[in-house]
Amino acid sequence: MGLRLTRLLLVFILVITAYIVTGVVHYRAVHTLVQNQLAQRSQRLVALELQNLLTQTINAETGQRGFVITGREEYLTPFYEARTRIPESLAMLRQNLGSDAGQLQRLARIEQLHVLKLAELEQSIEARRQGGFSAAQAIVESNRGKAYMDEIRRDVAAMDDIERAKLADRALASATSANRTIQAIWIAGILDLGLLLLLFYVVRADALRREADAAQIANARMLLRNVIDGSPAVIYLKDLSGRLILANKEFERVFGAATSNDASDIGMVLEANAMPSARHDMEMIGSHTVVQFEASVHIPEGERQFLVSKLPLQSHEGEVVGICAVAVDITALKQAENEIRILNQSLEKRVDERTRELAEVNIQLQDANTQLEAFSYTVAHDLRAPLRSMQGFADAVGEDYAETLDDTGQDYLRRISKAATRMERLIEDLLSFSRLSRMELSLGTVQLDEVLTDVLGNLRTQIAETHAKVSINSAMPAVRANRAACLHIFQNLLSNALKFSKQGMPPIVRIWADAGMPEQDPFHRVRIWVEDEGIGISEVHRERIFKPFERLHGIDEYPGSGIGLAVVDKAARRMQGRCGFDSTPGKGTRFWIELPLVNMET
Amino acid sequence: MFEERSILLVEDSDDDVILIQRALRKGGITAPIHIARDGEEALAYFEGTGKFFRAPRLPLPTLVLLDLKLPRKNGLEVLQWVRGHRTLATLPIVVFTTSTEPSDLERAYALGANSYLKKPVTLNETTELLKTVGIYWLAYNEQPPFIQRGV
Repeated sequence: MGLRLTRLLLVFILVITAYIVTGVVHYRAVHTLVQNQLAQRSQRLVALELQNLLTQTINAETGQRGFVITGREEYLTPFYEARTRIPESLAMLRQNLGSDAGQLQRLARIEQLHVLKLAELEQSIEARRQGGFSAAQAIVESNRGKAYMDEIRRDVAAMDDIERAKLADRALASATSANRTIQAIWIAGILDLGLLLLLFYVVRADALRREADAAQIANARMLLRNVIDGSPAVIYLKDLSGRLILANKEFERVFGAATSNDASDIGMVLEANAMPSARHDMEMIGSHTVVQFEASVHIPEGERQFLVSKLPLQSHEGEVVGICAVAVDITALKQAENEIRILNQSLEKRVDERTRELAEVNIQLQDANTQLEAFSYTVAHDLRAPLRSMQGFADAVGEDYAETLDDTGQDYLRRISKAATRMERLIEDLLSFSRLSRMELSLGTVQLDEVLTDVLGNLRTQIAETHAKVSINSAMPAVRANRAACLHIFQNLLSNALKFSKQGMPPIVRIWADAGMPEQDPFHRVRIWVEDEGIGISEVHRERIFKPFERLHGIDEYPGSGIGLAVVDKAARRMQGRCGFDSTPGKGTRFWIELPLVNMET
Repeated sequence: MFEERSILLVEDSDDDVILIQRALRKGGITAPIHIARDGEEALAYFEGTGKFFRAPRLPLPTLVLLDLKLPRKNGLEVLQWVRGHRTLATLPIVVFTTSTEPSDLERAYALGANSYLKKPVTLNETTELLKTVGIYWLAYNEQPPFIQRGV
């Protein structure tokens, strides 16, 4: 703005200066012309006056001659007239000669000559009156008068020549000056026209820019209007005295279109709930920061909650000129928040209730567990004691009274003893199964090669008796498990492999661990195989085999409690493991167990 | 053999008493065997009260064979009581029981049992075991000084 104004001002100054300069040039040219005209007029006057002077002088001489000749006074009239007119003529010449020194000098001589001439003429006239014609004739014949006259003629001619020359010079100068003046007027005219065009251009450019600016401002205003009207929030701007500058459609929708230009009423409504409006407006203006607060407002629709943000409006000079307020209707949010809070509270209550219920159930479970333990203890001790007595006394009778008993008696006693032994075994297995189910299994690093060494040690009698070939075909990993449970697992798997061999064939057992782990297993389990070449398991028994007390064979054919694989399954599950088998009846069985690798647990 | 030494058998089962006595006899252990039928009787034996009141001066047993599952006072309580008496603190006590519960093992050792033996299933095994135990504790084992002097 300022720059444009300065430019305009400069162009104006330039134009005005050019006008002044051309004006001065014009004035000077015209002045010279006028001066020349005046000078030429004086010179013409001088020339005419010089002729007049000469004529008067001649007139004076003519009068004198007439009188001298006739002696009649009336002939003297021209002389007298000339005698009066000559000084006038001389005065006029002097006046018109100006300051030309040479001409003035010549004029002075001509004047002197005239004095002398007139004096000679008067002398001759006096002489005619006094002495008659001859006296006058003598004077005339002295030729003095003629000499004066000749000299006057010569001087007047000289003066006239000079004046004429001067006049010619003047005329030439005048013509030159007039030409120059015309040129100057042309140049100045063109220059002025150019400057006027420049001025026109500048003013026009300014006007166009103003128009463009106005259009841009109108566009910006439209954009702002579109943006704020498109906003779902209430937006209004007020100046520092609280008057509404701008408000959007949402504002009108919420507070009514009839709202006056005074923002203070709704502003107050919005602001009254938070803090004194003026104070926090001032704070905000002072700190140049955004102030946020929640306000509830009564509008025709009812009570609404608003989140109001107020920020200072700054001019481009950085001065705060007003306040912008953006109010978002958060009524629905607030309600949702409230509902969530209520839900949370009821949820907490429900969680508390469930926790209490669970705690009760837990206590009941603990009671049940305690009872189960007591039951197990009783089974272990009280059922075993009579069993052992039966067996003990059967054996004692067999030993101490061998001679008194026949073979049938001996056989019966052996059967009692054997039955007792089987029951003892059954109780033992049952106990270890129930112990595995209820006991806390502490998990740690278990080296499976050590476990297998122990198991093979436990089974060495059985291995030796059956001439079994047991081989471990890979390195055994370390797993995260319970050592005792692992012992149970491998003891059962291996003793099964030894037990369920084909009649009359030494069992062949191979043990190995898979190198990798099953993909995408969150527990990072490693699989260990125990393979035999025994009788195999039919597919129809797949479901039953891991359940307790399930037997596939007669007790005399393959003795056992039917609990071993249930123990394996239970132990594996309790250590986040799994077990299973592949089998071909008549060819053999491959049992596998998966246990989490050490340090890989999730 | 070792007649001057005696065994206190704390056992409530008559059957077991007979079978144990037989096993010891078969194993050649001839030391006198005193029987206490429950925990309280075991305590009475040491105190010279109840069943054992005014009994002829009772020698301290060289070995106590202690069952755990006992009426009135169980084996562990007996163990605790015995170990709580200065004069009995060093008495060799071998737990002889059917229980294989880890908790029983743990507590028995914690209370100061010298050994923990599971009753074998067969008579032969029982005979073998008790013979070994008898020879070990009565013959080879050096007795604590208190026990030699008697109560």
